[in-house]
Amino acid sequence: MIAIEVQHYLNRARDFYEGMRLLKDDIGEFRFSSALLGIHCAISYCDALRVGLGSPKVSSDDHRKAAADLKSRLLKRRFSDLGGIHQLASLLSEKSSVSYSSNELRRQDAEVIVQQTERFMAWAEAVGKKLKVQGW
Amino acid sequence: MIQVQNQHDLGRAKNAVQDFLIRKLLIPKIYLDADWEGKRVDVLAIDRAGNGDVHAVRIVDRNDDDLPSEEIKMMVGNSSQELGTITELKSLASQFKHLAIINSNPSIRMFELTLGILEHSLAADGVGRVGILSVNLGETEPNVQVIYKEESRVQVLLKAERFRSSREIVELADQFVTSHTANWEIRE
Repeated sequence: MIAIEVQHYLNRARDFYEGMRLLKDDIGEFRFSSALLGIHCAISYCDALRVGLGSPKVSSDDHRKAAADLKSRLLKRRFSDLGGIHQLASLLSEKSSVSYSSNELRRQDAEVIVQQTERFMAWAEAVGKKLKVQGW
Repeated sequence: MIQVQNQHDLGRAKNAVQDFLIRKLLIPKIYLDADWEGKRVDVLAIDRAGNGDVHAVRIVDRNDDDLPSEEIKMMVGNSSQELGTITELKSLASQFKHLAIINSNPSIRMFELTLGILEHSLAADGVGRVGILSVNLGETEPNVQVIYKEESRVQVLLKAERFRSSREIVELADQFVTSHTANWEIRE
């Protein structure tokens, strides 16, 4: 059952990534879309890991708490490579601003979000495999 | 001079195939000229940041001067070179296998998909098919095209199909990622 839920979030994450990848070729024109898809990609990867590591509910909670929850679950498993947590926290902190703020999103800011997303993905993929998360 | 040109073509083709795989896969780790279980692989990609399926690519240059004369080159449509490379690819430990063809010499017949190639590209049990890519080197910007075959008004795309996975492939990939530096990767 957990494996199915993990697969669901992974598929969603990879779907968001594909969308971000398509748009990043023209990131100057699609700054908000590519950035927001990247952030949602990271959230879904985080959800997949949290569910796979035993979190009972991830869908509607405050995303700002997600990074802390993932970190504590990794520490409980004595997993020391927490490099992705910082990237995740940074991405989550941008979510409201990218989604709702009236401020302009500069091209270079969108590029940083896309790059952080890709780095977080690389970390998350390695964590899922190393911890043998069901459904990974 | 011709040798240098061929070497340049091969190098540019490797870069073009690498770009193709970066777009096709999910943040792969990519290695050029990989020694994979003692066999040469021109471009090796391991999907999902080195944690997923292995894609092996061998590149064949139809401009290769191994063939004895221009007449023979003209006669040889699908040379034994492609068939031989497909056979070698099928024995490689990887989930996906691709043959990439450079056809930079206009005096040599373009590669054509034949029934023989289509059948030969399949695994013996049908689980898996060697994909065929055509590399167009162009003057300035090389790119990879997937070859299509016109067949009864239906365009059939010959794309790679996944071969059976095994513990051997997974262990090889894990060891390879640990002991080699990727030519292209997303660094954490």
